[in-house]
Amino acid sequence: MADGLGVDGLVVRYPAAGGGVTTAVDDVSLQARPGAVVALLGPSGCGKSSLLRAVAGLEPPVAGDVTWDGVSVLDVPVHRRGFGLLFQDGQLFAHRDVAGNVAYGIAGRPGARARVDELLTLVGLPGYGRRDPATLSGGERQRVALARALAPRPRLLLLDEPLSALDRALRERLAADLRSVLLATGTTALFVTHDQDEAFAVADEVAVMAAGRLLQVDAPARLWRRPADATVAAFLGYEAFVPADAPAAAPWRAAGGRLDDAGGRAATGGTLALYPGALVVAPGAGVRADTAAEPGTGAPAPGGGGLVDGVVVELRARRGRTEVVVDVPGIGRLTAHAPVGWTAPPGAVVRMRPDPEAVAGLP
Amino acid sequence: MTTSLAPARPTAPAPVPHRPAPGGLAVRRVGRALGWVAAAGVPVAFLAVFFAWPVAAMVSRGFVTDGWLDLSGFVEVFSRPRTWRIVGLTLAQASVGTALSVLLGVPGAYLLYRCRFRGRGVLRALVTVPFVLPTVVVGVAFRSVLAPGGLLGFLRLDGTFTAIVAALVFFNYGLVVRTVGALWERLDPRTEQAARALGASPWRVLTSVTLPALTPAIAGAASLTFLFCATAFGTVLVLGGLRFGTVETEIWVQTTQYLDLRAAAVLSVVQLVVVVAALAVAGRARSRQDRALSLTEPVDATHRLALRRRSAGGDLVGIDRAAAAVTAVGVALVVVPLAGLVVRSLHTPSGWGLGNYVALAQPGGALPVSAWAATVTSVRVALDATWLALVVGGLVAVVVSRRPRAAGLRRAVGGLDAAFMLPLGVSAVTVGFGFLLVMDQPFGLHIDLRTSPLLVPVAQAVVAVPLVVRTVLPVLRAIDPRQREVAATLGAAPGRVLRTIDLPLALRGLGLAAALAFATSLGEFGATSFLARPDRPTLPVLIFRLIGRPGEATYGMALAASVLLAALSAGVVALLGRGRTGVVA
Repeated sequence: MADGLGVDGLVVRYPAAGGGVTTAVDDVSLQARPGAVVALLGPSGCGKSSLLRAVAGLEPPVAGDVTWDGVSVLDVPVHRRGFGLLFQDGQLFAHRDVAGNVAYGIAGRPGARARVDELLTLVGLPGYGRRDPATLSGGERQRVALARALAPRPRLLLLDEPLSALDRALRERLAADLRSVLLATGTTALFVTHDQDEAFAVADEVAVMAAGRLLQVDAPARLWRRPADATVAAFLGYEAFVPADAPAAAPWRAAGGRLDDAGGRAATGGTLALYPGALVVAPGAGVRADTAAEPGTGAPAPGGGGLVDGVVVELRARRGRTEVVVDVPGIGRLTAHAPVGWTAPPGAVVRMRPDPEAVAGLP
Repeated sequence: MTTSLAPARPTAPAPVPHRPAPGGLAVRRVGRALGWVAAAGVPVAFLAVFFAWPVAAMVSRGFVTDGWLDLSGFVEVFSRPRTWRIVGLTLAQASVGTALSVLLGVPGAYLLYRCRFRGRGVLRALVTVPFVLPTVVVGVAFRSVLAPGGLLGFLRLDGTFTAIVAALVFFNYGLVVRTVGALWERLDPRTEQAARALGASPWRVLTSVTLPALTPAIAGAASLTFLFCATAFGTVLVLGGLRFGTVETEIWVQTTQYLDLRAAAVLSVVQLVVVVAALAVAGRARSRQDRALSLTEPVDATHRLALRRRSAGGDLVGIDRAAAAVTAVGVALVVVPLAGLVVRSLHTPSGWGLGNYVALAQPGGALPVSAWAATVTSVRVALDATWLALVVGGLVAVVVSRRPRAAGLRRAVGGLDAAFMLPLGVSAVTVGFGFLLVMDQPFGLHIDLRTSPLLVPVAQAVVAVPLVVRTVLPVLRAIDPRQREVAATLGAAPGRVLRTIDLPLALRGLGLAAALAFATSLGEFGATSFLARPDRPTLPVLIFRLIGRPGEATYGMALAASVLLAALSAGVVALLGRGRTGVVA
């Protein structure tokens, strides 16, 4: 019997607008060992929230099973499952103060007050007990919601995009806090998000979901280096795909590095997936002199010495560095990195070096 | 930390293991279903016994002869010129009254909900006063102003069509202002700003952007106003005399004066058709409004009232001036009758003074009880009616606020919602007389409920329930369903969710609901006029009897009693419904 959460062949359907049914979750199976934090990663509308709601008991599945320690919980009503839930907007009870919110799930139990103080300290809000939720910032509200969800010591905590409503800086800080709180309390958690940075920051395992189906489940690093297929890779941000044995892939294979690992698969007829930054405009390998004067006239060609030539489409400033969108023959459109302040006119041919760290091998 | 996850199996879907539900779960499910059945069943039973049955009994008198369905009553009643005249009058009064209420009310909504100025709060409260005033009081107030010797006696409007329409507008002006204003207040101003930035003048923005967005609220308010106008009873009975009336007053006349139950039954059915049509329009408008409102966020969209060209909102001067002028007319329409009533009530045969109020302590005009005694009766009855209406209406609101998964149940919930709107418009006279017919030995039991002290409160509660539902329901519907879901995941059983999530929030609407139920009951006249025992009249019934008697002294008493009743109704609503902007629609 598997310990912890088990989801087995789960199917969730909704009545569709036209009178038919939409299958939101399509035969999904996964497991989470006690203490593990599992992220469900997918684009919006992929069914990840429906899966979460079905696990919580808020949606009845049409097929499949949800188990805890091997025992089905489908017949256990929501309030007896012992599965906590954290919504995107916290859903604090406006008519109770912060302590009243945190104490909701442990009302009447001995030591409830001490537990409230303990949790408020844990989430970094000591002394906030008497505050009105309306006076809190978005980040503080999510911290209170987290404390409230953890108070009854749920055997599983379900988090539905808990950080999505916050701005970027706060989101990154809270993601780190969230992980340390989950580790400190040893809470098993299923964490739904559409943001891969968030998933990688918080989770031990990431499950990628699309169109109701689970595509891949892996540890973050492994998922990153070995996407199961092009769909997963594209969702992770890989933007171009080249057959590993094509001449266009040669520069990355020659550069080695991380590719040694992936290349083993690639050598037997796989695909290389290129991430933004798979090409880097090196200071010494800039715009080819013969094309800079007359943009668009020089024909790009595979450069010598493991370098790659591409035609500049546009330049973007991105977080303190320059990104160059280039067309590379045999590969297509790619985003290359360039030093700060580097510039070239559209149509110019630029010479770049491959970075094997921004490449993954697909089977 | 070790984790283990199995990716989705690429094989065929696993067969779903068959799992017999354990007995405990089945019992719990059945228990919860029974709870909902009881929550819906109590109000349905109430409506069936105290509304559907009396109405059916009354109507069947007209159509059942010797146990056979007999529709000849329709032909006979509709061959009378009098019937056509009354139906025409009803539609004409209601149409004109509605049109004027909307024309006056929409600018009022703009001024009171989109502009800021000193005294706005007072004006907002003032225009809602008529809505909670007893209909008899409204009639008496208008007569006190328009009658020869009154403030506006020189206009010679007493007993005219104009007077009746003015009273109907007086009554419904606040309803339009409040319903339209509540939406206008929440309308996202950025849509208008976008239109302005595209080069539209303020007037063009108003007509091409704002008013179309308000259409659902205006249509909803108009259909409810039409409904109240078409079924107006107390006001029209007092003001109309013999020449004017509505279908509702005609039902009363046919029942009490001519004892022609067949004609009354036919007219009840006619009224029902009009009411259902108006409610259908109102319901459709409301659902469109719910959808429209979900798109907007609460933003402060008010601007300082601009009456001078050089003030801050300078380009809105034209609109603001027009709105202020129209609103001045509306406010005058509200203030003049009320002021006239109060002034006239201080006029005694022996000069100015409080004599009329002093006289309220004595039985006058050959009536068996004093006005004070009638007031005590009214308050007692209203308290009973209020708790009845709160229990029944509260249960209906809780049931209707849920959105069950099954389509059949959803339709049933929608039907329940609609059914409890019917008492808003079905002739209260029909209900009252129906009570007299069925409450003598009901269900063959040898008891006579006609003498029960609960009879009048029950009849008044039937009339007040729709208002309670309409006030509490929006509050419950505004609760995010995820609040209940979060509570459940924190371990709260359904009962605790209801108690700790729904109830604390519903209590906010409950104060206003209680106030409206109380005021409705205090002023209820149609059904009560049949059911109140002659020796224990309620205050509106007493006032109606007083104005039917000659003599300046009794007239003065009627005026003083009207002021008392108006103050009681408005006071209770002001006290309990303070600061609530709930839409009474």
